[in-house]
Amino acid sequence: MRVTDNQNYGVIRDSISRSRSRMDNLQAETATLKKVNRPSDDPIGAAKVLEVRTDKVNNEQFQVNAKLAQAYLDNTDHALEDLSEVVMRAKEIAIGQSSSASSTPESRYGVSEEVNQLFQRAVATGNRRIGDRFIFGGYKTNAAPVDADGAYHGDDGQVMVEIGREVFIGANVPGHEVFNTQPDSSADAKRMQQQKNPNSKETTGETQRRLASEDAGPAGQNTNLFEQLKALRTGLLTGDMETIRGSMDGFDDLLGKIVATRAKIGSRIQSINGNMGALERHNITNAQLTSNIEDADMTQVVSDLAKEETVFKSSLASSKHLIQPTLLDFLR
Amino acid sequence: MALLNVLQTGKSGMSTAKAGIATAGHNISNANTEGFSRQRVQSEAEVGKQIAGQGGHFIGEGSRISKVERINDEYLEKQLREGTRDTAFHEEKQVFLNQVEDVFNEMGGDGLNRLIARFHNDFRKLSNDPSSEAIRQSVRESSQAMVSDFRRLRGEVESVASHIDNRIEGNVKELNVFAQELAELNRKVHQSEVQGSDAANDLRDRRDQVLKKINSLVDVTTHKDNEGHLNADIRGVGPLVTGTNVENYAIARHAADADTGSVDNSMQISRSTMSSNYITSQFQGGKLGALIETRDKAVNQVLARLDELAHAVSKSVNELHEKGFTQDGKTGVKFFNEIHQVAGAAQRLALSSDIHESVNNIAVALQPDAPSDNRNALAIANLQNLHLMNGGHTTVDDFYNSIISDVGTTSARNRESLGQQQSIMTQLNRVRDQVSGVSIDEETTNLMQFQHAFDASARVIKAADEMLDTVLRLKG
Repeated sequence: MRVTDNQNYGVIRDSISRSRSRMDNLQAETATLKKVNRPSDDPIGAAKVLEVRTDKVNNEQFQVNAKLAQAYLDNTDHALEDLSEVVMRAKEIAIGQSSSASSTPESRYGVSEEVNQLFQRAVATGNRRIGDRFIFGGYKTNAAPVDADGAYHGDDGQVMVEIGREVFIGANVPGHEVFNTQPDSSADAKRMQQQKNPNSKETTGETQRRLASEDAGPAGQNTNLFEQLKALRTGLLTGDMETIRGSMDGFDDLLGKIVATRAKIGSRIQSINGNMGALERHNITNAQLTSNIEDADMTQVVSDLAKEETVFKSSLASSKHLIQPTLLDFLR
Repeated sequence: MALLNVLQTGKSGMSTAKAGIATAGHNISNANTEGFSRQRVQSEAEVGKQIAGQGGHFIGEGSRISKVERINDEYLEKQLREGTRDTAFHEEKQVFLNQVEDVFNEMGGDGLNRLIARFHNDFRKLSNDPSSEAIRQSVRESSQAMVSDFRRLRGEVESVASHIDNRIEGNVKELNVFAQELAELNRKVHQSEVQGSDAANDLRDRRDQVLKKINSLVDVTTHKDNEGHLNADIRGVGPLVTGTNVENYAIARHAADADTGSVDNSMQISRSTMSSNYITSQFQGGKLGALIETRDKAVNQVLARLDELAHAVSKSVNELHEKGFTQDGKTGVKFFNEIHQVAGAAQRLALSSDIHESVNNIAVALQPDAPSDNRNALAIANLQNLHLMNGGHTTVDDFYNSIISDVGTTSARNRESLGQQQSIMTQLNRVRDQVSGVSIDEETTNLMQFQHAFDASARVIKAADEMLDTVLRLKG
């Protein structure tokens, strides 16, 4: 075979540049600790990495959301606890004054003042705030939902919070659902139905409907907390034993309702906690996935680099032999 | 038979040897000339005259040069031309695919992908606290960042396209110059080879070299005519060089063409003689083919998809936003300005004047006078999960990610082809060097061989001279 000088030099150039370009790639991997440095290094993997990154940003937000929802629900629960104390005390008073044996106009007058205080306490609890938002106002959180008369001015807005991808949870309980045993038949609720925005169902869709159906108890007589307290007070002041006795059932119903609502809140908090755990696990799986796709295996890279160095050195060494003296060297 | 003839014989030997030495020198001096084919002196014996009275024998009269041969394999040259064409194609494509890839390189972390996620998440934040001025500001901020990045991406991809346009312009000009050069070499070769021999070795080498350069620009087929002219046709387009005639090509900017998928105001190629008839898309192979293909397919597709994405984002957000109520109870407010057509949407995307004016105009609620009604914000955040793109099959995120992975795939595939092509070229060049390349050792040997022949021929002359001297002295 005829071998020319250019051929020799070509082989040398070629093998050195190949080796250097491989070393360059390995060098980039060691510098960034990543094996995917450009989309073309692994197009499918690159898209997956981006997808997972978006996931991660979202999950962080979901975690913040979940903590926020939990704070709201905890506060609502505390308020409900206070309300249940009010109702229990009112019931005790009603029981205490229900028999003519223990009830005298003087004692009734005395406790009527306490009922008045209970009423004020109930109104204050109904107007409880977090920051400047009234927690029982539904969507109308900028003004006190309960006025001095015990009338409800909020709406039935259910503030939804996204605590996982397309997982929504109600972060509030609209006041009229707490203050009424049968909110759907209450005067407030009827007013609310008329106001309801026709768009409401489109936004939170399924979840909204599910929560709505959760709330619908058996149809029956509605009992309103504030009306009930007012009735008790009136009964006490007028000595209407019938009303006083009758209010006991109402307070029982209200208590039952508050307990049920608190149970609902409890289960929401539980599902938030469950979801937080899921989010954390999801984050870990995602981190593993991205690491598998884009992280360079350092042991591999370093050993490849060492191997490449040997190749490079040997190609340099072999160049020495390829560039042989020519015939001219012997003709001197 | 005269003694004088012996002098002639010696002289012919010396000139043959001199030609051999000159050729060896020529070869050595061109050892590193690109496209040079080594040459060999072919000599033949001068047929002597039959001399009467000496038994009718022929006595040789020395040598003469029959031909200076160019050691070259035409089939190999053809393969090399094709290899050059394909390597140039992939190389040129890689340059611009790399640029597009750089525009979209999000592996470092920041990019539109993250900004789109932030846009949706800021609406989620807003849904937690709809009346917060600070969060409303942040929603506007992140929306503005997303809009700007759409514009940045489109602008940068467009600048890749205009860079390609400049290259097309340069390459077409180069093509015209090379075509002129080829025609000129055709004329020169024809002129110096009047006898019909293939004698113009170095001109032929240069012609092959020009042809190779033309081939690196565009796919060209060649054929020889009876005159020894090398004619070149651009495949799919028509003649470039016919004998000594040249077809020139012109370039001009032209409006978008839906048929070829070319971008608006891009460089288009036509024959100089028919300047309104654009034939850009007919050019294949070589650098020009790569540039045109990259611009009209890869780059244009990326632009179209960015536009599609920007249009879908603005349309879907606006549709929801218009249904919502602002903090002041207004409804029907747009979040982004209205974009009527998809083409150029990524360039035109901007926040609406209402949003620019006041962050109170972000419609978070679905009913008026409901400060905690966050349903609309949730709905807008939830657009992230909706399959808005690709005829209802793909989410915005996936669609954007698929642009990146497509760019990556095209680039990776081309890089692979380029690697293969380069290996093929290395191999072909090696084979060419084997056949046509210069070996210094070989030439040195030839040099010595001819030098000795030269010396010996000189001896012949000297011998003849002495013989003549002897004869002349006989008379004296």
